Amino acid sequence: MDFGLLAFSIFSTIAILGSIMVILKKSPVAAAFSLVLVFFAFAGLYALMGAHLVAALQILVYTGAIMVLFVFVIMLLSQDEPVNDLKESSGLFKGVSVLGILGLMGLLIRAVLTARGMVPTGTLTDEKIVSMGGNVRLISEGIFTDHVFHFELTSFLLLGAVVSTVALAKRKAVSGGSKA
Amino acid sequence: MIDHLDVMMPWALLSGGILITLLVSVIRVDTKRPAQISAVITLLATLISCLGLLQVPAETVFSGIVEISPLTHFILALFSAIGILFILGGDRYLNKEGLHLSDYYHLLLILILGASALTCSKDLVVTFISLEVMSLPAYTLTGFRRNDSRSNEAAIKYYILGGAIGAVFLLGTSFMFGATGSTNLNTIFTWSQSGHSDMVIFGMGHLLILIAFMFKVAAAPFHFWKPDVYEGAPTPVTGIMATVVTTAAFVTLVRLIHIVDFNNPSWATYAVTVKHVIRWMAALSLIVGSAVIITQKNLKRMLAYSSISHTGYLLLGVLGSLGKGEEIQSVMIYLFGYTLMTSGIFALMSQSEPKADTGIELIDLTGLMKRSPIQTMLWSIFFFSMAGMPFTVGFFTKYFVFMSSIGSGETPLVVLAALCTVVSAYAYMRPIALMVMRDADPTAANWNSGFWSQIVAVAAAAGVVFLGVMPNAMIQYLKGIPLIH
Repeated sequence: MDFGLLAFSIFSTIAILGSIMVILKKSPVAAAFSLVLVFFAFAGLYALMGAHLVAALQILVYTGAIMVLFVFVIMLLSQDEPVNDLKESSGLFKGVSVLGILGLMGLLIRAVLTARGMVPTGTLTDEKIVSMGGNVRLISEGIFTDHVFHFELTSFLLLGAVVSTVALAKRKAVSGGSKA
Repeated sequence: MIDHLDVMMPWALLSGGILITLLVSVIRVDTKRPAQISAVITLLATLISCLGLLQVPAETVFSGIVEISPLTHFILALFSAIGILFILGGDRYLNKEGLHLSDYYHLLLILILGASALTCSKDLVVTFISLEVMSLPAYTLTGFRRNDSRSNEAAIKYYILGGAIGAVFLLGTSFMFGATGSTNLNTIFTWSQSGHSDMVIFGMGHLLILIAFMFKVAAAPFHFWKPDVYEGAPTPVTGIMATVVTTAAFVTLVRLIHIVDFNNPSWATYAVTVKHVIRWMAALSLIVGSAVIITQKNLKRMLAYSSISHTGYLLLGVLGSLGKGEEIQSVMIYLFGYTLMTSGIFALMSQSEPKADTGIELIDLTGLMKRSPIQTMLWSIFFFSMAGMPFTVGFFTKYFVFMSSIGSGETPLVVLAALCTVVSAYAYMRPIALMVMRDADPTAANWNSGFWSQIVAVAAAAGVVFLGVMPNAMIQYLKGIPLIH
């Protein structure tokens, strides 16, 4: 068995088991950490496909930033007793959910089967990317030349989000406002 | 990039000003003056630099994703002017309500930045980002009266619906990208100049992004959020949404409709579909707006339904422009006139005491003639203009929209619009009758004209009357502006 296949089997097993654990774990923190496992396994899969930058970004952004956010929210909500409302949901709801999931799965399988043997089209082939200096270089050049307007606009979006959060979160600052 | 710095000057000033305003507001925490002054200076600088660039011909910058033209400069200048008016006119209101926070000015400036970026975007991704830059501060500002449950409810409603509609826009964008292989509006237009097999996919995507913007301009049946948001938001914020957000969304809507080459015979079937969608939405907006406005007792809800019916008139102008880009001026003229009278009305509305906000009912206007003849006159001018009476700007704006859509064979719809004008005229005349003919109700609010809000109202009223008597000044100017290529 060659190394690639072995690594793929390990990473995909971790990903599948991790995803199942995310749903089955009763404690939100345990579920969140199972999700970290899934993200790590995904990063491994990306690296296997040769997308090293995506793998690194996956760990930095998802495992680093987004998971910290998840854990913070869980801590802030501090939900002590685990909620298990699936048992109380109606049979119709369960049936519709299962049908929806099966439909989505069928769609994905069909997409994978259709795409078998297809090769990506486009001007950027693997060799060309290497000759132009690699993914990191291409993406950073793209961000700061062609897409600099998107980039700057997005920073103002984030700035607006930060100011909005502060404005709405500091409730005590209001004095003598209208009484509801 | 650097060689475009001259035409990008207003944007540089505005975005730099936002950062400076953020910085100065931490210098002194006890007073909000620094942020206010910095915001006014920022907008003033943006306004002046825009006015200086009005004669510069259109050009695309940032690898074709942004188009700077006299129109976008004009709109940014308009937005800056509105921003200054509402900062000055809303000063007393904010103090009264205990809302005078530096954050208000930061969010206001970011909203204006997003709205102006929206109007000059030539790329669907930029359109989406700037739509969010504009909407996010709007959601927050709606919920700014944090002690009022109605304000909170409105903000949550607006936020959730706005987020969902953002997803609809993205879905449409991905369909269009799938069909054309590009998100650039010019590339998409070039693509549409010949027949393709992906036209159904493209049409689906196109209709989805149009619906997203129909929601933003609150065309029926996507109007349900508007009355609640208008009522819940602080009065100056409602004013800004009625002017800046509506104008930006409409200009973008018009641009997005025209990314298909409707003169090409292979799009004939699709053109009929789009026309049907717009026609029915215009008719529904007109009917809902003018039928429900009669039943409203709350002034802000009344203005919300009024804006829904104005959306109907504007869609009439859009319909008239379909397939012939040069006719779009009727929409611009309408938007300009509407902005003028709405600014005035909201400046007047922030003058009521003590229940300045959600509570302004029609009954608060009773007997205003005896208490303050000047304010009665100002209110009447704006209501006359809203109803479309001659010698106000509202008459000519409606006239041009009607002419433009009769020109493209929409006569039944124009007849309906004329009927709706008559019906809604009753709603606009009723407050005037209350002011002049009734004695003041014991529960009626006091109206105290603040210095700045009075100046804003008088200036807007002068504009409404001036352009109503001599509309040529505005029309000649706006006719010279190319909106579509």
